[in-house]
Amino acid sequence: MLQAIIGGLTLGSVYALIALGFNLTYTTTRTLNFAQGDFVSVGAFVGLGTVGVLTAALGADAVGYVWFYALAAVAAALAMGVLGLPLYLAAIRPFAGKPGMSWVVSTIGFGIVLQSAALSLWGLGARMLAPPFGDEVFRVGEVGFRSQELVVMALAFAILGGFDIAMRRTALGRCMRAVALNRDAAALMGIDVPRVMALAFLASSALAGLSGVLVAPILSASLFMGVIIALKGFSAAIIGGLTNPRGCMAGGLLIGLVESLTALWSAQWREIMVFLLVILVLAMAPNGMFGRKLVEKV
Amino acid sequence: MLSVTDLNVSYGPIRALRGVSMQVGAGEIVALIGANGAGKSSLLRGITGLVPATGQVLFKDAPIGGLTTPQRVALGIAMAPEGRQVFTDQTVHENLLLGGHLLRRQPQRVEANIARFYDLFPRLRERREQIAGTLSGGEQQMLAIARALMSEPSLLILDEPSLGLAPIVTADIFRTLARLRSDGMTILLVEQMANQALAIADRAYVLEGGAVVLEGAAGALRRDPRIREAYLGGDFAHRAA
Repeated sequence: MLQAIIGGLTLGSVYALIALGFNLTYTTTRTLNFAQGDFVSVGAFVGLGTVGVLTAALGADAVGYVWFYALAAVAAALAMGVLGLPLYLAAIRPFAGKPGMSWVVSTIGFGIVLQSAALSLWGLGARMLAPPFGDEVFRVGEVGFRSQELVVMALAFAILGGFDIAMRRTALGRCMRAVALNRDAAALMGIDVPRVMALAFLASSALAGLSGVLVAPILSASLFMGVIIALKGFSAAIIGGLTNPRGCMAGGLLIGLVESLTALWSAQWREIMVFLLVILVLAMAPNGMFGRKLVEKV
Repeated sequence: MLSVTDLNVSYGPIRALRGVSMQVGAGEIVALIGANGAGKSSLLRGITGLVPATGQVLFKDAPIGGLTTPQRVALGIAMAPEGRQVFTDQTVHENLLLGGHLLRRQPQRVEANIARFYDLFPRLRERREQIAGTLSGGEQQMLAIARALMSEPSLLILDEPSLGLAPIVTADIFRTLARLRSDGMTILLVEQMANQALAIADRAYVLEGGAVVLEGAAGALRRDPRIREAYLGGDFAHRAA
């Protein structure tokens, strides 16, 4: 039971990272990046590639590998973050702020291009990324932790907490919230609104890329793994409330827990329970548990 | 200071502004009056760059038509928009910090400005840590004005500052505007309360159907029968009073 809770919180914290990415782009541009899943997968493979290159160049030992993994995580976040900019320019900027849903197709299309390019580079097969601290299981009383679960939770919670503080305490966070609430008023403050929007896409893509490297040692990495992770991250954002970053985080953890606790009973029912939960929450609170309705001013 | 020539603004097929020309001189208070939908807000949005406009806008003798809104703010145009539009999920203090966004590399200057506007509006100082959405309408309007002033503009634009406010609060806001002008601020003011706007303004333009139909010194316009009829309640109301 406790074991399942740990596993649930681990995956849940990854869903929370993805959900936060959806929150960032939704509040600032009222659009969602449906290529998030492909950023997760490709991020994982950028991580794999980085580890591969470093191991080939410098040789592998256990201590060195921790650093390789850390660099791989940074590389994936950077590479995906940088790819978030062309995504914004090509798939979002022409459509943001205009009525219509062209951005749905344009972001999905961007994701497919990204995935196809990665497929031609890395192929169809699933691969394993070794966890940085080995496969050991730490025991605390009855409960065993896999080292990677601790790594994922520690990093994800640090990032979520850091974002939460940054959104409240820093000038950039204030600007982001101002743009999220009222773009015209933000522009009248002298805030460069398109730049803030591009930054939101950069951050959300970087979060996706980092998530890929985080989960790759737990699930095996394939170029198709991201879709279901991003779908659950999206569900997390929807049930937590797309407009509320803390709600998105809570939604992620909740989905992770439901998934993991259901698996105790029947692995097949995991996805069914997750999406039943989504339907149930939406039936009771159409804007999610902590969300509010955003009114688009024209 | 501001010179607008033949400005046109369209929303799709709807022409909201049809060839408007107007000037605001340094140190003046200029009022724009007109009914709902006359194009007052479109004119302001065209001047601040919030909507695309054709025609010429000169600010301090330089064309600004091709600039973005933040670039125009940086040159010295600030606006307190219609309906106040304060950042309701942030505190009073944070709203003022956002107003000083362009000066953020000079934190002492930002702090000095905030202190100055807390002196101008002591109510804001009392409520500095309060979330702006919980302020009264009058306090939000004070915040919107202070926030606009944070960028140290030379032209302050106000879109219906009296909207939804009690008369006594409106009077307070207008007294503040007079004080700002005596400190050298140039003000462009849109108002439905034509009476009060004309009382404080030097000159005024009357908009109707997206075009200027009347312009002149505020005092003369106040006595103009057409204005009295359309915007000041007419002769009947005047006789009753």
